[in-house]
Amino acid sequence: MYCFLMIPIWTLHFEMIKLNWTILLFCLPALLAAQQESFTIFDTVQLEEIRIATSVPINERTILDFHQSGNFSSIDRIAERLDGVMMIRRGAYAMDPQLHGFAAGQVNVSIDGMRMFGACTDRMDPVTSYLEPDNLRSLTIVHGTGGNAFGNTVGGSFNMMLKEPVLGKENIAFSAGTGYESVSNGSNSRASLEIGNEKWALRSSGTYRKHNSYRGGDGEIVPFSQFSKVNFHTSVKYAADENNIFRVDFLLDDAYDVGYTALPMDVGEAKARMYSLEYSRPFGEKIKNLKARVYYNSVFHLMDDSQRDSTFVLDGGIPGNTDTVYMRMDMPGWSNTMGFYLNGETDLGSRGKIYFKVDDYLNFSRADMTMYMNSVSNPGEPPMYAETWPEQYRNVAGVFGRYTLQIHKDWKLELNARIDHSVTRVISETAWRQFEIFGYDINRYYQELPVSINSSIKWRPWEGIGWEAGLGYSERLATNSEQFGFFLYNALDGYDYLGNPDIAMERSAEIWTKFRFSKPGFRASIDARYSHVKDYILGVTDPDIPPLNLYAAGLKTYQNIDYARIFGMGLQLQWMPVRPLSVYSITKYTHGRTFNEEALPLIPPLKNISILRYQVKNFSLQAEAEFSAAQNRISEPFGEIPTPGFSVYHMRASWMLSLTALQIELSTGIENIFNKAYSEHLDWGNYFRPGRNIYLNLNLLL
Amino acid sequence: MELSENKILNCSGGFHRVARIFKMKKTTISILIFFILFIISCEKNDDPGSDGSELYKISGTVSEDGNYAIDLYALTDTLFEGYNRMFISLKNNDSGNPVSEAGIKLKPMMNMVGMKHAAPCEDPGETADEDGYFEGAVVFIMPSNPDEGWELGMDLSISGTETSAKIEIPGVVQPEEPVLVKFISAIDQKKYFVSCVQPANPEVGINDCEFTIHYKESMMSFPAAKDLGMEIEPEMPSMEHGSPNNVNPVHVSGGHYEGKLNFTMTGWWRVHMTFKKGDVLLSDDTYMDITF
Repeated sequence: MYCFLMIPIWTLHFEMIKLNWTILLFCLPALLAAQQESFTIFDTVQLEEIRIATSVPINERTILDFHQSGNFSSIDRIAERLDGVMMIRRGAYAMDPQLHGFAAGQVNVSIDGMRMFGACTDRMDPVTSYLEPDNLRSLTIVHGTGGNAFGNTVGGSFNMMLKEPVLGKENIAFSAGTGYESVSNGSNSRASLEIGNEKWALRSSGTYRKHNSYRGGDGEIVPFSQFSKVNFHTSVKYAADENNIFRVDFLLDDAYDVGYTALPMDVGEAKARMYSLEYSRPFGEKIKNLKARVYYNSVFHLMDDSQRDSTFVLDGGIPGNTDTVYMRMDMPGWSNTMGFYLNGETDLGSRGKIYFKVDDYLNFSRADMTMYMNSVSNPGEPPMYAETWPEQYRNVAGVFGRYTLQIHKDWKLELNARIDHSVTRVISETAWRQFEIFGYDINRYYQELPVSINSSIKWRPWEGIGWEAGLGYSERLATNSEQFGFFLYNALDGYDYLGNPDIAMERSAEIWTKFRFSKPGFRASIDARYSHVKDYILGVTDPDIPPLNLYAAGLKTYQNIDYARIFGMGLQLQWMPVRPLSVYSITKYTHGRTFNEEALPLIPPLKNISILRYQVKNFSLQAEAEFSAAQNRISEPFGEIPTPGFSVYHMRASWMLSLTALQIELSTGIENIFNKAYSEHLDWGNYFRPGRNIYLNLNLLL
Repeated sequence: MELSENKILNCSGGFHRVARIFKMKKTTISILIFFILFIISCEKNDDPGSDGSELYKISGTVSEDGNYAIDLYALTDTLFEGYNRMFISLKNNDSGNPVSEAGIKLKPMMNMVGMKHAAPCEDPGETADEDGYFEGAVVFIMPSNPDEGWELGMDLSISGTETSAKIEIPGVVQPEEPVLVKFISAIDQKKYFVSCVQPANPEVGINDCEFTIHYKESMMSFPAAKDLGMEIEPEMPSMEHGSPNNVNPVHVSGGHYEGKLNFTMTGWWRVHMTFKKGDVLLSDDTYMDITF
């Protein structure tokens, strides 16, 4: 049977890819023309690269130090402290990044430009959960429509650059560390090895984490907040000569026994594998920094409810009624992506520069649900089966171009555009029939042509003062859940969600500005952005369709509402009042409402993180405070309740001991010193965040 | 856990399939090819009946006058309580030729210990189909048991001569999931028999549904009820949910009601039925279970 299924699938791939490229080549001249016309209208967003590293040299005083609470901060905890980034939390693991109110399909998450998609229908495995800081060189966040270098997006991009081995003089380096956290009685361990010479270089790293359910500030255990994971990354670089460099990456990430406090199910295993091959050519007469990459990744996600009490009393069940239903669910999901990209730079005139990128990816996804009933009144009931993510392929091919022009010594103009062509095809007959019920014939190709155009201008009139502003427009594809999801249960509002095959793309028009000021010992930046999102995709209650899941309150279908408006603001300050002291403060604010003035769900309140740092030589001491305003602008249709404001405080200290061949890094700290019982607005189910946590980390560098 | 592992192997996507195929050894591939060919050849060997389904011989007899051999076929190897399509073949005993024109009146009869009663039935048309079968139907309204059995009487009229026949029905079983329900009308205390004809092979999605409704006029007369209003409402009892966009069956002809039945997933479904005559409610507490 396999052979027979396979042939049409592969024919389909080729057809899709062919179709993509034909359309793109046809559209290219039009795109270029459009770019010229829009020259004066649009603008671009500047990339803000925030470097994170697991072993930041202790004497390097940059903002980066503040983002990291210790050697073992997870990507989630680092990202949480970045400008405009908030995390949607469903348990202690795998938080879902949100950029100024934009999340999930509105945000492009990529790894070194490679696309990867979680395999969970309920977003229990955002791509960020399959990586560890030890894998990463940097984290690049671009807010808004300007994050289109890796794919069309309305909310921005979250690109994680993989750490690469270093070519150069013969070297070998090894480091290993371990740490303990009291709140979850959990441990983290890591090790990395680097070997390199002028031709070859290798870097391998491994991380292991095991945490039990943690205690909240009220002293109670927060149930189902445990997790365990193993991560392994190896990268090999080979330089044929200094201008022809090859690189191979392999990444493995397995999480298991992951609890999700706010959801009715946990995760038995979540496995990701990633393979990529890269060729780069840094120098060239015409094209510089040429990079080509092919990749493949696969994600398997298996939900597990074996630890949950799923005894539900049926309707009319009065207390004492023994006719209960005992149910177990099997919910596996798969998501495999293969793709390539090619990018490079070229000069255009003496003051202009063009960066171009051509990319294509093909994603396969599928998830299903089998429910095993054990009802007292109906023993031996056969299992119930439905395809929750119909087996489908989506191929997206795109071209991206960015033009930068130094108009004047103080003025810089940037312009970028992207066009994609996507083909989505559901190949499962069961799914065709599932959607037939709702009047859809999904046995066809779904095609879209999302475009985005951005322009920005930068002005540096005086030393230490910079002003930027931009305009952008972008469209984004609906996700597989939004288009073909079949009765996906959402624990936030308690509704089942049904995809809408005819859903249109979201279209965002955006305006933003940023002002920077710096003088020795002081830096400040303030930014604000406003997005008008036409055809905003939101779940809308449909009383005519009954829900499917036992615990669902009703059914919502994804619809394009008229529009939504999102406003975001950020303020960052860095100040060094006297030599060993420095202060860093970040404030973020987001406001979102629908066209009829209702609050959008999952909009964080005003939040501030302030850090005071004292550093002498190899010792540092850091006091941190997190403040959050209350969120009373809530979305009742989405089951939100007001979240009170809070303030929590942390203390950290670290020492670095340098011996001749060995460096010892010791860090310790107390998080949530006053054991405050609190939760943030984006925490589903309002379960308490960890209470007082004492940690101790030791890292050795050889 | 082991179960899920198996699922991974079986259900993983195209990429995996390719990878797996390449990994397989030659022998495995040849076994696989052999297996595929075997499946294909099996499918081709299926002997199609009148509408592509296989027919099973139930019983046979000779007409009263001894001139005709009569064979009875059905879509299942055993007849069941509910609507059974009947395929009758007639053969002239002298010439050995099949008969293609005949008037056949079916007279099903239940021989109970203390009494006899008939059952609703549909007489075949006068011309045999292209495979030589006269197709009718009988709604067996109770299963047989060792002491009480069904027989199928027939009045035959072939090229001007009249004769009759009686076929003993070897057994009528109660299906594991009933496809016949009975209710007593709330207005005139008449007994109604509702049989499910379709879906015979239910699947996820839209299913054409067809029911027959007959009522008991007397022990020997079970005419079709042609003027009822019927409403259906599928439900998954253990999940407490239904399905949307079902189409209530309406009368087409001869007591057959056709509509659409939607199933959003596999499993145990209960189809609740309401019957009305005009605006007057006859019954609303009848249901039929469909599990797949």
